[in-house]
Amino acid sequence: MKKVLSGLFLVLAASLALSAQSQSVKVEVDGLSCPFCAYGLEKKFKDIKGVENIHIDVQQGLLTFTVKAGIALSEEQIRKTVKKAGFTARKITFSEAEEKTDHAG
Amino acid sequence: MAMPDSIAACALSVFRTRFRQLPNIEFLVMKHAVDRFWRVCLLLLLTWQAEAQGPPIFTETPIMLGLEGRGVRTFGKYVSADGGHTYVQLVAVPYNVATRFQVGGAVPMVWKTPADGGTRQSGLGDVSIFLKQQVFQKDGKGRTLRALLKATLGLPTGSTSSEPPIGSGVWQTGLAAVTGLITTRFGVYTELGYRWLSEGLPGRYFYNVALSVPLLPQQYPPRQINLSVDVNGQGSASNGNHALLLSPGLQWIAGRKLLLESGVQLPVVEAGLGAGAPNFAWLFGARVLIF
Repeated sequence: MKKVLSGLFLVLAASLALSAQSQSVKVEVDGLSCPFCAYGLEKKFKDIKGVENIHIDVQQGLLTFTVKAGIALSEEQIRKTVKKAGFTARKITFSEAEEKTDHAG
Repeated sequence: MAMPDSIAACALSVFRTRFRQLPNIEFLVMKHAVDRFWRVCLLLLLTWQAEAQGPPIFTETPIMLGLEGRGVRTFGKYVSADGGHTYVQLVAVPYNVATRFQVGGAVPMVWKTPADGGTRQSGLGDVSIFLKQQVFQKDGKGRTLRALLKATLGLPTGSTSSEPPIGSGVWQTGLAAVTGLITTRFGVYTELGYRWLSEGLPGRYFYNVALSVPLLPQQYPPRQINLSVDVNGQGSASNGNHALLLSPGLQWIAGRKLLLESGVQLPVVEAGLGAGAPNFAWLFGARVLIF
């Protein structure tokens, strides 16, 4: 019984630690060809609570940002935001500490 | 635009020197005709490209940067012609109702100075409103191909009681198709449209083509200089008039929210337009994203 409880505690602690980490998100954005137009993209993501450290690479068509710990931001929400800014999101990559998860779009 | 404005100035000058001795009724008829010509020229000057947002300078773009009402474009345009010169300061404000649908308005202030020593006139010009509906978008890495339809309504809000008149005195309805292939290395833009005028005046077709090339590596926040060359044409099928302008210009994207631009328009073709050629038109302006 002790072993079971210890195991559960470890799993719970690990999941809490994981959710307390901030996420790094990389979005491949199609249609990003004009730096003056990129401001709209930055603005849309700045409006999302918990999103910070926004960086846009126009040459590579990449949008990267971090999401504060405890804030959930779904892939669907990211795609909608990119679309609302007038662009198309292709591949979205979430990075958490040492664990990476790919969601091909 | 520069061309018809100059022609109007020339026509007015000819009218003044030749027809002052006509009987009163004929004088009034002629005056009405010339005034009408002035008004048409004026509305073309005020409305052509007034609503463009984003590069290039003299041609419309299919990218809508309305940003929910917080993007503003303003520019001053000086037109030098033999018959006098005109300065227009215009402010255009778009509003993105939806991602692909935009409405907006453009408000001009006009100063006109006749070359023959006539009284300088100034005031609010013809206000216009516009709608844009994006109808096509295909995005790729570092490039986008887009098309939109644009409808414009020009309102006769400017005064027509002065000479030269500040407003056109006529309603105008315009419809145009705008396309653009924009990549990180260049942008090619086209616009083709037609403008209907009230008061039984003949409508005018117009077409614009532009090539825009960034001179520095693309980066964000932007520090960029764009070189653009536009070809701006318009004419009337009913009388065979055709004007074509070559319009080189430079844009300096000074930061996230500010773009400064300047360009000149030089007449190349003046078919059926007589001797009233403009010398040049000079535009300088800014596009500001207000947040």
